Amino acid sequence: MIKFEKVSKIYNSKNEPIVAVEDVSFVISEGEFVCVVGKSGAGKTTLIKLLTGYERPTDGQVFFHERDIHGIASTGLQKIRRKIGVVHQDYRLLQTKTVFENLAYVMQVIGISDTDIKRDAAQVLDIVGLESRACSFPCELSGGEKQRLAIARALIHRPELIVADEPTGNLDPYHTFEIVHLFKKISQMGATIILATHNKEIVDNLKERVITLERGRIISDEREGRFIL
Amino acid sequence: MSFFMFTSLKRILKFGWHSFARNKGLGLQVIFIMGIAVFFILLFFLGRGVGQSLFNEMARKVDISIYFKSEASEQEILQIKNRISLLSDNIKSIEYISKERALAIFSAEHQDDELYLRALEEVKENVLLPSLNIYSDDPSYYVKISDSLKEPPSNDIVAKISYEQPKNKQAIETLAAITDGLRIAGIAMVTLLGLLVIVITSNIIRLTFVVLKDEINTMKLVGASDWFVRGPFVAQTFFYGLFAVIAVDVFSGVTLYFFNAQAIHWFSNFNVFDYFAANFFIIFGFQLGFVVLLGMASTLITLRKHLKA
Repeated sequence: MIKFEKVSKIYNSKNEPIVAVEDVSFVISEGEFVCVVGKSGAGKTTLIKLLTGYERPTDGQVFFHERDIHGIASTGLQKIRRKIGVVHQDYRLLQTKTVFENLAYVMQVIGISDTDIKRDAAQVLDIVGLESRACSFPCELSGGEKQRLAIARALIHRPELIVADEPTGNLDPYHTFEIVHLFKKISQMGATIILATHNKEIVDNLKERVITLERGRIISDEREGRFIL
Repeated sequence: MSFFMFTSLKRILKFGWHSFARNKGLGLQVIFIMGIAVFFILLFFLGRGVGQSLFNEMARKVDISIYFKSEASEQEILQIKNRISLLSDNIKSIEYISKERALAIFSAEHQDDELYLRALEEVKENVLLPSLNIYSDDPSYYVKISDSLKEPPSNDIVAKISYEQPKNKQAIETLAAITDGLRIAGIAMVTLLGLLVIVITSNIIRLTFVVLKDEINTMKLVGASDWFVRGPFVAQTFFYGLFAVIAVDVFSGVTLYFFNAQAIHWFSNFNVFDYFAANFFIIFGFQLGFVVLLGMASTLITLRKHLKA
């Protein structure tokens, strides 16, 4: 489903170039649950940005269902993005829309009816514990609530790929467990999950495939891996 | 239109309305700027109406008199009268005044003036000339009439044409020039205001984009098409324009209604409110088309260079 082929990303800066990701290659099949681990600055977020088309690789190619996502027209990239649910490290919520409207927007982009949107949004808000905050704006939410909203938005349209960048960083242990359990359930239903985290407990408890990054390079790629840093 | 497109369009308008309603401070500023342009468009139309009315009023006061030589026969004069009446339907009246009638009119007008009466007695004969008084509701025909009488056989019996008097001709030509000038000035002003609307709307959209850049990027990251991102901005601009036009027209209509009596007095019986009401849909349509289309076009142009995948 996903293939990174000798992908590198170098940022030009005033002092010297910053190598965020270097010569990374891996393949992720449909239905896999993959944890991408590494310390801060290892390249986890850059990897996710390359996968969602937010950044272009300096070298190499990124494939989604055998299509080079950086070699297609913008309309093709838009269609790919509709199949992906992304939880960003910085939430990336729509500040001018309410909690409900943030969820609804993703569904409206793919043309779901208002009736289905209302039903699904209510369901997902209940799952993440935000049902009482449906009319609030993101600026009125706590860090944990924002993160739960970001997670809800990534899940609501039942995407075939969910990419989560530190989705539990601002959550208490109860909600952390709930979210990881939810991801596990979704994975069992057939979705592909990529979870970028530096939380050792989550990785060790999941016992899923673990790709470990250090200074932009893959140093380990193990099925039923553990947090080795 | 497919159901999906119709639903998307509905949603785009709804998003645009939300953005419009949730940014009241920005909205008021934009509506104010657009309102100025809309107001000047209204002034252009009203100015045109007033100018036309004044022109018509003045034209009504102007007629042309053709004086014939003493020896011209009544038959010849009446032949010319018939010929002129056939020139156009705009010629409303032609009155033949014989020498005798001219004398009677003159005597009646100056019955208290001994000097004129004594002058007539001394001359002994009737020196007044027969004439045709012609009134047209389109003064431009006076030129045609005047020109046609300069050719044979008419020029043999015509002594003088009053239209050729510098004062009358000049008055009409001056008024026509003023009316034309006002129209050109109005067009120039509306064009300038159009540019103002484009520049200001572009800058506001650009500023809004800077503020909402992250939001727009997020919309694109969840797979929204360029039109789904761009559409609400365009819809928002439409609402700004619509409210600017409604605000100006309601305010102007109410003001004109209450001050109409005064306006009638100022503009020589021209009923400004009636003119506004009678031409309301044309004015409204022009205002809306001008401001909304310009605003929406400038929005599209500004957004275009920012929307790349």
